[in-house]
Amino acid sequence: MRTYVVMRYVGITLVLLAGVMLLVLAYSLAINDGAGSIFLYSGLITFFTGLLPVLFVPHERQLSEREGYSIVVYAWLAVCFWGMIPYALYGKPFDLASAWFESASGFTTTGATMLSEVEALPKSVLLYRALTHWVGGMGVVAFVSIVIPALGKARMTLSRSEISVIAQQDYRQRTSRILEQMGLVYIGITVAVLLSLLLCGIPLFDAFLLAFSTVSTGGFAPTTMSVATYQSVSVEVVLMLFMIISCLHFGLLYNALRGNWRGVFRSKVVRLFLLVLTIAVTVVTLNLHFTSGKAWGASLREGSFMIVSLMSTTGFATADANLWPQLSQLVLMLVIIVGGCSGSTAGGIKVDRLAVMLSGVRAYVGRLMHPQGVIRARLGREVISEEVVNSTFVFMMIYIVVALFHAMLVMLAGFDMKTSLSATLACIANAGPGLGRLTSFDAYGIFPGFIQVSCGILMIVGRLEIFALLVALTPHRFM
Amino acid sequence: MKRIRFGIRGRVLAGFLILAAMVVVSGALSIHELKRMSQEVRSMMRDSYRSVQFGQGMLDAQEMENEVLLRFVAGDYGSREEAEREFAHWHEAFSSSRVQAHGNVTHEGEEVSLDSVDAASGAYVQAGHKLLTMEQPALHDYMQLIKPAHETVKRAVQKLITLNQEHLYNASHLIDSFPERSIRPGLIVMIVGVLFALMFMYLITTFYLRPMMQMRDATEGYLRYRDRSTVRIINDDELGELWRAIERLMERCDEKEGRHRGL
Repeated sequence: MRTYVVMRYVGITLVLLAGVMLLVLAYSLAINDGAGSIFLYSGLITFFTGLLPVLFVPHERQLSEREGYSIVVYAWLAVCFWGMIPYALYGKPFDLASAWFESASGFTTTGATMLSEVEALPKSVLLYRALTHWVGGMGVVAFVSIVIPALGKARMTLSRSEISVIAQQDYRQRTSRILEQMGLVYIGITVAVLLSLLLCGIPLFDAFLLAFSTVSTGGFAPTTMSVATYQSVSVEVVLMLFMIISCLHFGLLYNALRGNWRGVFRSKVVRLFLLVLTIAVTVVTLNLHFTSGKAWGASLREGSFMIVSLMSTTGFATADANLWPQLSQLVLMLVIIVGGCSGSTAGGIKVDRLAVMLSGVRAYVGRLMHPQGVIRARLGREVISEEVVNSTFVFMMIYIVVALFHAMLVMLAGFDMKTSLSATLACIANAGPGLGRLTSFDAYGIFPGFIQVSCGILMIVGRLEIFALLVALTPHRFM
Repeated sequence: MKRIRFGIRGRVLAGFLILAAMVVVSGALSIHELKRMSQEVRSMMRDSYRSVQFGQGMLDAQEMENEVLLRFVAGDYGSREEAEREFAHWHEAFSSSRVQAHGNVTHEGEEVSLDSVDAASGAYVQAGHKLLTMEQPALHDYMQLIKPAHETVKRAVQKLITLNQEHLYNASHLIDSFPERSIRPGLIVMIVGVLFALMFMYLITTFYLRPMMQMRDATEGYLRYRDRSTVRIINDDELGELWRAIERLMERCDEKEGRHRGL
């Protein structure tokens, strides 16, 4: 593996990140909120750091698969690390650990925050937070493909790391087209959310921030009380609609925009996603009504928004789920684990994997019943290869092990099991809100520094879906 | 657009310039933060401390005014005029501090607080003059007329003093955060600088040092064993040109040796 080639691409990513910081600087100067020097300094430091490998290393057309994985992994790590500089410079309430946490939470589109008072931040810092979501949602790959004119084979290698094997099976196109389409859909959804929220009467600044958070399924809101601040059914409906859209495969959405709407609903994965969503909303609504005694309307409104928000791993909140009955809290955790569809910005294990696992289990049971039969796992009419089925189960095993270890680490810091498990799941699934001593409005500031650092790392592990990280970090001689 | 060609000198110089720029930016930000904070704290402390001093002056003068009235009631003064003169003297001292406090308004709420002091002081002076014009003032008159007005003035002045003391307290908190806020840019550039230096070292080694050592080994190998090996130069710059020149030299040597053998 050519480390210098990886450095070049990571450098390009940092230069782009510097551009984002300087954009926020321009906004800060325009509104004169006093935070301009933070973004000027951060932008310059980030730019200079990224510039060196770009100057040194010549343009490289061909990348190996391992180099592709490494670029994605190290670019994410670099962006999260350099992205924390504005927070670190801002100072209280951010120390170095919480700056890392907030930065990782932004770029991995987790949306967990350690802030207990979001409104106290200057507007430019709030804008930067939201932009970290927007940038992160698109992923490092998309930015590399926009800036570098002719990646050729390199683009193919990079995109395989970002778009998992499962997503490729669902929508076969040349990789460069996939990335262009993702970009168009992404920007299109952002504009649609923005306009819809403005029509609902949301102030322009808040609408921008919510739009960035929604399309990236991030969850950073401009207020501490998240979407509950607005107390508006229309806002909640708009956000729910676009959160659902944002966790569908972008390729399917692109086809839908070109007129093939049926394709979206013909997809087995989308159908499974909507089925799980409907069941979860139904169970929670019934539970809230019969156990908590809430009115039907209130139960449906609260239950549906929170389930959609957490299944899409966005993390917006209109209520504190800690006050919900235990069954509803459990359903909430389960939908966080499931997450959205591959090929979207959502987190979790992805509905695709759930579909593969269900199909794999069905095929296995079928083979047990009919040992002589040829029974394969299928997604619709398409046969799923053994490699995909095996890799899905391996992924789940690693996912569970990593989550358990992290939960134990949090418990070692003195937190109860509910808080530890929910925080771990929320971070690895890039969802955001937890339970227990955390609330649906976050405030991970209760955790000590080393837990905040580990949560940030866990968010990156979750965003990269583990395998990319393992491939990039495993020494070559061991493989 | 003509592609800008970076040679060895350009790349190495760029690396050191970038490092220097990062240090300069960090230093500039640290200085900026220090200056800004020290200005803020200095003005907070100076202005707040002065306001507290003026408040204390008002309280002292107010106590003396009150003492004059009590002594007048007790019959300590030889004449009414003597009491009035002394009362006027201490009221002037009070007014002097009050006017200075008005000229030192820096915080939110201070103006409103001073307006309360003005109103209370005006009412007290009126009550004081009423007592001084009485034929035979008694303690009962003092308790009814003067004491409530005196307490009101004291409370108003105390509120002003408390307001400024709070600002002094906040300023001291700001001083607490001084080291952290001014050190942070330096700390960040230290961490980033170390990573940058490691990256720079790696790139210099990969692109220049290692190829140079390989060229040396290849040249020695040729000199001893006439064994021509390949050196991969990644960047097409002066080092690449050097290796190509060495390769041409080796070819020429081979050609000449071949001709000699032929002879």
